[in-house]
Amino acid sequence: MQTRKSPEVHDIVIVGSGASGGMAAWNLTQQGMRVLMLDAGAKFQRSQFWSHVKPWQVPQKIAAGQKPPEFYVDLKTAPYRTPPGQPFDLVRVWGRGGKTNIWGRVSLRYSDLDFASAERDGWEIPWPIRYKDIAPYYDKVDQLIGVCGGDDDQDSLPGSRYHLPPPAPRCGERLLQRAAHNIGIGIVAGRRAVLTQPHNGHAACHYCGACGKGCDVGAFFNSSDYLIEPALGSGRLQVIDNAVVARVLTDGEGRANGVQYFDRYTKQERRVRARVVVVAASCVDSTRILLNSKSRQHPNGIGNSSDAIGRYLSEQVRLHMFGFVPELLGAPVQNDDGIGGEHVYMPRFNHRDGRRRDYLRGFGMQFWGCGAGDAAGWAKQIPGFGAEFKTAVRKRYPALVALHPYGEVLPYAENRITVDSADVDGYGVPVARIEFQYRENERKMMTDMYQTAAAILKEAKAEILPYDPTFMGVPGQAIHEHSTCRMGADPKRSALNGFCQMHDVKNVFVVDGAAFTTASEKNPTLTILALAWRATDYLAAEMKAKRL
Amino acid sequence: MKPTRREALVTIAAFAAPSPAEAQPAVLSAPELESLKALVDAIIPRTDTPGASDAGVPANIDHQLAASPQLAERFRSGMKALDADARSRFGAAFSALTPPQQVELLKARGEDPFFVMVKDMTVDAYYTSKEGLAEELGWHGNTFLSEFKGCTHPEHQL
Repeated sequence: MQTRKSPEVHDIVIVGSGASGGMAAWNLTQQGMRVLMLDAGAKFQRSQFWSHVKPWQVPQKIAAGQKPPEFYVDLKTAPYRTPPGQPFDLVRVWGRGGKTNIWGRVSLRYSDLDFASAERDGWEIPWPIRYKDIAPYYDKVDQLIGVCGGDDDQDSLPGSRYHLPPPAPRCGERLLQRAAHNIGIGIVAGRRAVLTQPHNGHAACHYCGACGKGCDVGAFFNSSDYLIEPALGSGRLQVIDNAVVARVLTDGEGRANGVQYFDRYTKQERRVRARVVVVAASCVDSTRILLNSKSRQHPNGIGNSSDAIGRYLSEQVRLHMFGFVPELLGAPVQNDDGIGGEHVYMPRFNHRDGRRRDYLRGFGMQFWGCGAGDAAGWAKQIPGFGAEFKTAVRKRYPALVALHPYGEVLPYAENRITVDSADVDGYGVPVARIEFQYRENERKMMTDMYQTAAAILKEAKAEILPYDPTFMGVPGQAIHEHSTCRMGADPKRSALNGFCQMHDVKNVFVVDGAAFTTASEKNPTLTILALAWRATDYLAAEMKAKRL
Repeated sequence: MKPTRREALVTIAAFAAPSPAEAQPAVLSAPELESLKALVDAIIPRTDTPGASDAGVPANIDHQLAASPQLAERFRSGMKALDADARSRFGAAFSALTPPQQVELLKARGEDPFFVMVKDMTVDAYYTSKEGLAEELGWHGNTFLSEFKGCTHPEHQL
């Protein structure tokens, strides 16, 4: 196969176009840098989104041969392996903006409970940064992308002065909030990157609730519209579509000097040269690229003298509990769409005085799916059939409430991603093998999570749908992978410094979820954006000072 | 009823946006469709609102069965057993029974795996149809609003 080498040496090449890659491109071009971005897919056309296709129109459209945008990359194109009995559901979007096209939009600030957790409980290493280091970047991200939320501020969830007005809670959410309050648990306004008013030239939300199909007006943050389009407008960003990156290339001294990629469709190999490489392909794929970037100086993958790369894979553990609140049984059906997903959030509280726990770290709770939805899958769990069944479903439909606690999974060296030169994908590149298991700490935390959700429902006098309190969920389904190229102060135990720069290879930065030292219980995207902004500020300063 | 892990996942999946499959041809014969129609209407009958077959549930299930030979086989053998039961008890196939006879038979058989499979598919298809979701349940979402009022009940507040 012929390899094409581009003679040009780019200042910076960015691998990936999601939250972290988009932020890197936006910030670096703002600062006058010339940037090349490699995207494994192409731009998704908003006019083609199925945002306003009603549920019953879906089978009709499919029968007519139409298709919704293909956000999710298929396993034939992008295979990965798991050992027997250890499933891991890996969700990936190849295309401009990556998973921000369809993300859950929950935007929570990490606190020093997260950054310093290891200092308190001794489990693994602490983050090399603290809240004060990242707080200015959270402020800037909130202002740039638009995050709605309340004015609450607490130790487990620092506040923001820049929230857009939060949407009013739905009835079911109010009733859960009241019940939780009665048993000493605070539920606050949700924080979501959805525009409740026009913001920075982007349209406001029209409350159709169909965000998961992609927003037809771009009223929630996505990397393509909010970061990459302005970066392209600067004239300093070039994007190559359908460029599936395989490896970071190095010179004789082990410094990065470019990237090898394959055209997604023709499979032709190509190479580009760059002074600095920013890896932002999302946790698992970034890690795979690094592990596959082997050379004489980097026999275990680039920048991996610590053997930390690939290890400590931390997803989050979660559950789903459903019930029906008595006040809303048989009530008039409202339009409960709102901003899609929950309008309220339960911040972590299990660390506070008087609470006892037999595990480390904590959990928060989301509430997506409360109220009248566009399906009723829960009705499968209502016993019986016939007219009585129909009535039972109709009565419960407006009264549905949904509780989804998310808990931190500790970093374990054995939860890891590896590559095997004998097991390759269609491009001839070794695939990721993911070994991931929950352990005792997660099982104990899940018990507390089940009990907390059930206690709120009981206080609300809700009918609770049957659940299995031993079910741990399927790893990967929270779509919050972290920590396989973690930052830390000690180069022997971590791959990156606090600016997402490799300890071993100064001109490689890894700016996505892989860089996190711990997963926390919170949704990571806001922190990914803040860390990527901070990292690329540092990168730009280092380049201007000619240290890179 | 304690849900199995599979059922728990199915329940969770049902809350997600419908995942469109490829267009599929139909697989059931006319008599098989007749049996399916009788069964889904026993599960969700016509009342003051449309029933399952009014909402096109049989055709929807037919497409799903066409996508999976394994599922189609499970359906066929389950329907055969149901018809055999109907004949031994009432002397006719399930679709030929009167509604009260159908109810009596289904109650006697209980919610076996075949029934649960058809009920699950019926629930998904019916409550995403215009008849089931909009007419029966009263869903009027996925629209354009300039403002979202949320809960306006003073009695629901803290």
